[in-house]
Amino acid sequence: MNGNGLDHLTRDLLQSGMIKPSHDLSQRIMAQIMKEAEVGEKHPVKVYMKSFSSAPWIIIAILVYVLLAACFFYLLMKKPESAASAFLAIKSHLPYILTVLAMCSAIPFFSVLDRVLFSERFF
Amino acid sequence: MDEQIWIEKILAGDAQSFSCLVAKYQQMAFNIAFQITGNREEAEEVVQDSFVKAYHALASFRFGSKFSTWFYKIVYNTSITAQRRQSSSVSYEDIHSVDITAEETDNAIKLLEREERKEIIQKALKKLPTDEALILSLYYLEECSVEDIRQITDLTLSNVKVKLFRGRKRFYEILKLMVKHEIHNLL
Repeated sequence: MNGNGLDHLTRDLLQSGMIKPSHDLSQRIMAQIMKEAEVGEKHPVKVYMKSFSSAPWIIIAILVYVLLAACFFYLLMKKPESAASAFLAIKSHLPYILTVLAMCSAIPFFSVLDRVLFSERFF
Repeated sequence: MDEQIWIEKILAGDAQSFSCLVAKYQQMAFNIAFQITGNREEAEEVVQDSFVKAYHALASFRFGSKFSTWFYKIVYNTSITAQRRQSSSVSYEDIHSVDITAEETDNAIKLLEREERKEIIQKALKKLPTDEALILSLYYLEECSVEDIRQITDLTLSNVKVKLFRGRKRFYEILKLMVKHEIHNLL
């Protein structure tokens, strides 16, 4: 007997040997489901967010941190006396640094939040 | 796809639509559970638990994979848990009611033949290792692909293929022996 014939025979044999569940099993299942639905047991809706690993964002994140590190070391080299003096040196630039950091953090945060809020599952 | 529509309705709050999923997957779920637990009542309980788990986890289902694969994995895991729980308890001979159609009421011989065949097939499947019997059922009855079976059972692809081949071979060897034995008894 060839492969197809054997497959066909095996399928027929297994189908003829199938045991059926009780007639009322589906009713019991639905009764349980309706009970769960009525009681309204709160199970947290799991909203899976796509992992935030798109290449452009990773590159931006790396570049920002490299830039910050470069600025810091540049200032350290300029005034190598101490970390405190380095901090004082960048103090005047701090608002700009914090703004850049905040923007870089806020953009991905709000994109993900946007995706979550407007996903069908959330509503 | 019908399933997508049903699932969207269920998630929107129409729990009654879940009956469509139950009707479609109940039999195969019962097959899987019965293959693993070997006990009808236990299998029905497993099926019920699995459907309830699926209902609660439905929001996490992604249409990237087939619903049947996702659901049968739940059934498989629930069955394994039930089997472990059951291993210490005593098992009794399973007596189940026979389905009798109107035609077969008048033809007792046909009914006996059908039941005897069912019994022989079930005995042959019980003699197989559980995973081989399960893989045969998934492949031939549910027409799951080897990849689907891999996802359900967490076996490797090559492992599934080997068990499928071995399972089928052993199944026929067992059937041959059983038929020979029956003929010998008759003579």
